[in-house]
Amino acid sequence: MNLKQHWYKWVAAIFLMYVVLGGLYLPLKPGITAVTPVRLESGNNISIKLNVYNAPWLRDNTSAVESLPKQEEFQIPAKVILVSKGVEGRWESQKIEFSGNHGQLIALFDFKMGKSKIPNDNYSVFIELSNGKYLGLPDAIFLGRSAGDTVGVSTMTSSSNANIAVEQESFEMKFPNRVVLNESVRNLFYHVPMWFAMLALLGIAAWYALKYLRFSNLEDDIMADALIRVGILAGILGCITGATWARVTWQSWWPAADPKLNGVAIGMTMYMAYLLLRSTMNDPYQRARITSVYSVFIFPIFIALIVIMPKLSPNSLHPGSGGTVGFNKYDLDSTMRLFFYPAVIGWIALFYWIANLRLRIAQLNEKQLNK
Amino acid sequence: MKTSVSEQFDANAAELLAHHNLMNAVYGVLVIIFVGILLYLVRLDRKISRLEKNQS
Repeated sequence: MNLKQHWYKWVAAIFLMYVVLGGLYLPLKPGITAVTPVRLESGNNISIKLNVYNAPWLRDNTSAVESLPKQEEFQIPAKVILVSKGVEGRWESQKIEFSGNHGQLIALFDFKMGKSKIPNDNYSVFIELSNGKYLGLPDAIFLGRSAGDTVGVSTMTSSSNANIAVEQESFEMKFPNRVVLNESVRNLFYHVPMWFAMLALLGIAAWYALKYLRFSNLEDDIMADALIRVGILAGILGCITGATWARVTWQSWWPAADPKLNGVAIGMTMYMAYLLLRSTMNDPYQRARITSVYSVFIFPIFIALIVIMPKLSPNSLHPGSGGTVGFNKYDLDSTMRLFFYPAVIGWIALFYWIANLRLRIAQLNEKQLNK
Repeated sequence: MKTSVSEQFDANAAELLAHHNLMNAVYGVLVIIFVGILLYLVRLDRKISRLEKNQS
C-alpha cells in the first residue's frame, strides 16, 4: 500500500485500535451508584447504605476508619453528609461503617429536627473524603418530618453548603462516573461516532452529487452512490447500538418521545427512498441526474432533522439537545475528549475506507457493462 | 434490626444496582458494530466474486 494515497486507512487502523483498547481499559472514577433507603422520617437514628462504585478505599473492609492515617494520598471516607438546595444547613453522619459487602458503606445518622422548622425536601448525599474532596449523588433521599419529632435538639449543622465541589479538578486518566450511565459512558466512543461517520459520508456524497450536476461525469455519481450506501450502513449501526444503549439506560429500545429518534426515523426513511429511487432506473445518465438532485436536496433536511430540530425542541433524552446537558459537562477534565475525537476521526476513516471498496466494485461493474 | 417491606425492597434494589454496571452494554455495542461491518464486507466479497466470475 502506498502510504501517501492510503493515509486514511492507517488513520482508521491506528486510531480505532487506540480507541477500542483505551476506551475499554481505562477505569471509571469512583461514584455513588445507589443509596438506600430513599425515604426517611426524622426523629430517628437511621443507618443509610451507600453503594460506591470503583472506590479502592472500600476494598479494605476496615471498620475502624478513624485509626487509618489521614494523608492526602489516602482517600478515606471521613463522613457522609446530606445537603439540600432549599435548606441552609447539612446533616452529618455520626459514624460510618464498612459493611461486609464489597463497595458498600453504611452511614449512621441521628435525624432530630426538634422544634426548628426544616422543610421536607430532597437531599443530595455526599461522601466527604479525608483529602477534602467529595463524591455525590444528587437528590438521592427524601427526608420528611415524622409526627413524633417535635421536641429535642436539632442535630443539623448550619453551613452555607456553598463549598461542596463534587467534581475533582485534578487530571486523572479515568472516565467520569455518572448516575444511570455508569460504565456505559464508554459508548460515547462507539455509538456517537456512527452518526458522525454517517453525516460525514452523506456530506461528501452531497458534494459529489453537486459535482455531477455541474460536470455530468458519471464517476462522481458512482462515488456519491457508494458513499450514501455506506453512510446508510453507519446509520443502521447507529440505530441498533443506540437502541441497545437506550434499553439499559432509558429502559426502552426506542423511546418515541425523543425528537432525535423521530428525526432519525424520518431521515433514514428518506435515504431508504434514495435506494428505491435508484433501483427503478436503468439509464445511467437519467439515474445519475435524478438521484443527484434528490441527494443534494435531502442532505440539508437530514441535518435539520437530526441536528437542528432536537436542539430546538423543548425536551430530549439525548445529551446536548432540547435543554439537556451536553457530554462536555460530564467530562470536566477532558479525559473523554482524548478518546472521543480520535474515535470520530477513526470511525469516519474506516467507513470512508469501506465506501472506497464499494466504489471500486461499482467501477469494475461499470467497466464490464460497457464492454 | 427490624426491616420493613419497603426497606427490604430498597435493599434489593440497591443490590441489583450494585451488580448492574452496564459494561455489557458497551461490549454489546462493540459486537453489533463489528458484526454489522463484517456482514457488509461479506456482501462486498460476494459482489467481487461475481465480478471475477463474469471476467473469466
